[in-house]
Amino acid sequence: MRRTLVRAALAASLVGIWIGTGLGAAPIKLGAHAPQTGSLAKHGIEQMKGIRLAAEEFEKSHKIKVDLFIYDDESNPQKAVAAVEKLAGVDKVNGIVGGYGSNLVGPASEAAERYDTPYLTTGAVDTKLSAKKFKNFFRLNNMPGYAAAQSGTIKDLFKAKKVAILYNSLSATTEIAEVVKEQLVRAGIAVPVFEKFEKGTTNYKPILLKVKDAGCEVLLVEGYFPDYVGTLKDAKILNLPVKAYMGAWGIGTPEFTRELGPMSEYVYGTSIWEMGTAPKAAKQEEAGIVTAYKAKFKEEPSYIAMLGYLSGKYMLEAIYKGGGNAGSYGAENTRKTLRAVDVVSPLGRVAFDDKGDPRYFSAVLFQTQKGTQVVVYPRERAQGSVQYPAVPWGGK
Amino acid sequence: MKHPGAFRLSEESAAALVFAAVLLLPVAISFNPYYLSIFISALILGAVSIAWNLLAGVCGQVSFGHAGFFGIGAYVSAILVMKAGWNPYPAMAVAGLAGVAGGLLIGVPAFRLRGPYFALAILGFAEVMKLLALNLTELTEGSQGIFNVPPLPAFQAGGVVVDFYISRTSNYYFAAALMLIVYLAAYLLRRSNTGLAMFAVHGDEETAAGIGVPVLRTKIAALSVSAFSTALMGAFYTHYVHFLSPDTAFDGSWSVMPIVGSLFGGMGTLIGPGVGSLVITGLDEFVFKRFFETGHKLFFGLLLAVVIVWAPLGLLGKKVRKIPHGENE
Amino acid sequence: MISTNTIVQSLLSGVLEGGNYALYCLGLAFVFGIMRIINMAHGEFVVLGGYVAYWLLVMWGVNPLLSLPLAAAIAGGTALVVYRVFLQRIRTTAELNTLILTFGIGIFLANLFLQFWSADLRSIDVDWAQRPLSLGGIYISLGEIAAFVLSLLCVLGLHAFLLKTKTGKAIRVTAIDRDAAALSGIDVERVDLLAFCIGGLLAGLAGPLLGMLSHLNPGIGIGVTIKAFILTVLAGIGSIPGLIAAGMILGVGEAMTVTFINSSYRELFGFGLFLVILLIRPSGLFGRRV
Repeated sequence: MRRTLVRAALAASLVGIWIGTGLGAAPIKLGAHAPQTGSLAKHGIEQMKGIRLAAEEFEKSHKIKVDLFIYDDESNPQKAVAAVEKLAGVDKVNGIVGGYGSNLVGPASEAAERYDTPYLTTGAVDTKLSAKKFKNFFRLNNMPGYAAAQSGTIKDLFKAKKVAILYNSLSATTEIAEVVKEQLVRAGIAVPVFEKFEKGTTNYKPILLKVKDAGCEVLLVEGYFPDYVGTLKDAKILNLPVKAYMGAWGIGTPEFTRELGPMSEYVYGTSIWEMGTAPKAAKQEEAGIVTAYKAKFKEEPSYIAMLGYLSGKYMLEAIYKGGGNAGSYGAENTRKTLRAVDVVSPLGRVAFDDKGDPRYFSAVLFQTQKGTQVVVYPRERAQGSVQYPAVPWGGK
Repeated sequence: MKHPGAFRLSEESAAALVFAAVLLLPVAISFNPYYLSIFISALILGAVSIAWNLLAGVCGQVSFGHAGFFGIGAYVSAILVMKAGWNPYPAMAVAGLAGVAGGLLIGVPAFRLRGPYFALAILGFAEVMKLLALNLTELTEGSQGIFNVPPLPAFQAGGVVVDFYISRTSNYYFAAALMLIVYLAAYLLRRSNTGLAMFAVHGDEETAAGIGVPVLRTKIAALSVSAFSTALMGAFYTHYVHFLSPDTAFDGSWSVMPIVGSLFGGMGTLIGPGVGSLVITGLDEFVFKRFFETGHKLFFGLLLAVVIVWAPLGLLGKKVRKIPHGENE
Repeated sequence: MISTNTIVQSLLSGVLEGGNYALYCLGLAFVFGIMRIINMAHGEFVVLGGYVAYWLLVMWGVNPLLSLPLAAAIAGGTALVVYRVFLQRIRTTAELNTLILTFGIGIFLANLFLQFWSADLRSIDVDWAQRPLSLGGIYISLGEIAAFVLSLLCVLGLHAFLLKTKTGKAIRVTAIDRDAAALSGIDVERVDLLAFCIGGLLAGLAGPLLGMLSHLNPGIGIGVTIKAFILTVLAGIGSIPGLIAAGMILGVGEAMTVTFINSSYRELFGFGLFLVILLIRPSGLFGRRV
């Protein structure tokens, strides 16, 4: 009796070693969807690079094969739903990561809920997404964290009294504009100019003149790359007398600095992560990721790639830890493990609340100084101090 | 099959074959939910293409803005269900009527315009509708979009519960049924006296008016059926995708793809546009994407150009006889 | 509340923008007026011209104004190929066929640009173009002045070409009565080819200015085409000088909408005006009755 037990144990441990060394262990199936074509392709591609790296690194460190299934959702909600259906229904993945844009992640996360498959996204910040309390929905970043970085800088560093907010009529930019406005007003800061514009606007002068007339000190443009180009060019022509120019997303990227050259100097933008902004406890992890990323893709990771990496990493670890070595990676266990996560990552502390929203997420605010992005807020992650007042067109 | 004219189907038998294929397709793909959802999109597009072609191919009034009707249908249904607590089925019907109202609003004045002017007036109309959806935030939630639009409610059919939340199969067959309804509406209209009048208007408006065809009324009939069907599909779309925003509901591709599908399938037939839409969706999904990850729409552009120059009758143009219309032909 | 200075500056920006609009749409309006073809690939020709100037600037530091001839030539050459390969074959069929054909060409070109040059946004950034001059508290930049002057020159130049030269007259005669033109010995096929190429050429000229005053990316062509069509309708077919006035009405109207109402109604103003003119006076503000 005892002999058989020992033998069984021996056999089991041998099998264990065999599994542990790779081949044959129940591989983890990780699904991912993101736009690889269409209007959001640029971001989706970067996000996917991070996820690919995370899968590779996980394979190396845990000696478990990861089957990565990636589908292009073409920045189209119907295709995003179809992708999740394929991942969860056909490929039967253990978890899904990716998704870029709230209008894609909304329907996609709902499909994931239907198939009872954990879904961790890094590309959708709309508050409504977590309102339905899907048990499979998780995200690393959400809107209040972004807005707080902007309003905090305006309040604590600039100590400004009057702020103009111009925002693109698209979904995410509208929401951040509204949240920032609310935060500013609550702090006693006036927002005399709060105007929406359509994408594709070519003449920003009339709207900038309103900013001038109202005597605003800070110009906050919640938009995307083309909106910054248009507003900066016109602000230069008008010699707009503001003390700071701040943007939301897509500002301060390498592409931005390349196209705008000196006109990108002194602008402020939000980011989640820039090289070297990790909290002390995660400095080593940050360095490791950056080195591996550079070795694999021959370029610096953007914060979108970093987010993609982390989403892949946390999802894989949750699947693995939740399912143990048994090879049955149940969704329930994965969810439980994700909910119990509380670690310090290069983005700061990561933990999820019962809606799947991040508990501690906060964006960072940087200023472009001599062509590089210097994080200036929040103070505990700051790399340098603000140059204020200063705008790229050399106004007041 | 290679020799045009050697083997020609009647419109009715072509349509019967197509719908039989649509009926059996899920079996061929063994009810795989992913492929089903691809073809659900294709069926939605197919129905819109048939509706577009009724106005363009039969009546000669090319529209560049069917996205306007599609978006109206999607928004009206979603708003009725979410803000007024309606059941989605009657809401879809009312959404179709709202499409007709939109059609009349722009159609009555725009029908005085010819050719490209009409096409682009509808395009302008679609843009204005999109901008309204963007700016009437009280009603439409603006650019944020409407999340969590409820699915069609489940119903009992012969002891079986047909559910639309989980099952792709029931969504597929519902979309197929809608395409059939749209097709039958187009077919019956085409066979009626109004259909005859539409044909005459397409040929030559002055002559048609000269022999006593009520030109404006005929155009309005075609537009109404077309707009109703398109808005109905928009309403189905919103309950199927559960999400709505101005950018997706009024997306230009709802104006463009029906044109591509119709041209490809054959504008001279009624069923051709449906077939064209199914085929181009399949081509895009299973062929074009294999070549290019980004920019596979390039093939659509080229296809459009090549078809219109070298095969203006489309895929079925030479295979399917036109519907006969008595002494007029 | 709104200062006079602001109103004047806003008006000026609308006038300048209107001048640019005239150039952005000149090629489309010309082709439509002469050939009754709405070239839906017009915007892509514009974007192509812009990319030519962009790469010349980035690679060899060429002043975008000096790139204009090459930008025009390359866009015109593309128009030539499109005409020879496709358009020629269906020139005489229903006009909607040409609309759909050029639409397909536009989709093709836009995605080709995407393959070649990625979705990255490009901006033709030259410091002199953006440097402001102050005239009594009103600011204007050299780039804007250059674009405005160029636009006027192109419009008036085209107008003069049509009125004064032999070829121009042949083009006009063909536009008015094709059969009569053919009978009087004009090679109408050649005229068509020439007109379409001139349309491409003019579009190519607009590109560098668009990239300089705004930005370029592969997807913006269709927006340019639609704006160009709106203006063509406003001006009325065949009215080349009317384009300047129509451009200014649109530019100033948009600017005033922002100044006095709200920037979210800017686009609505343009499309609303388009629909009203189309429905009330389809011959346009300055066109002869159709």
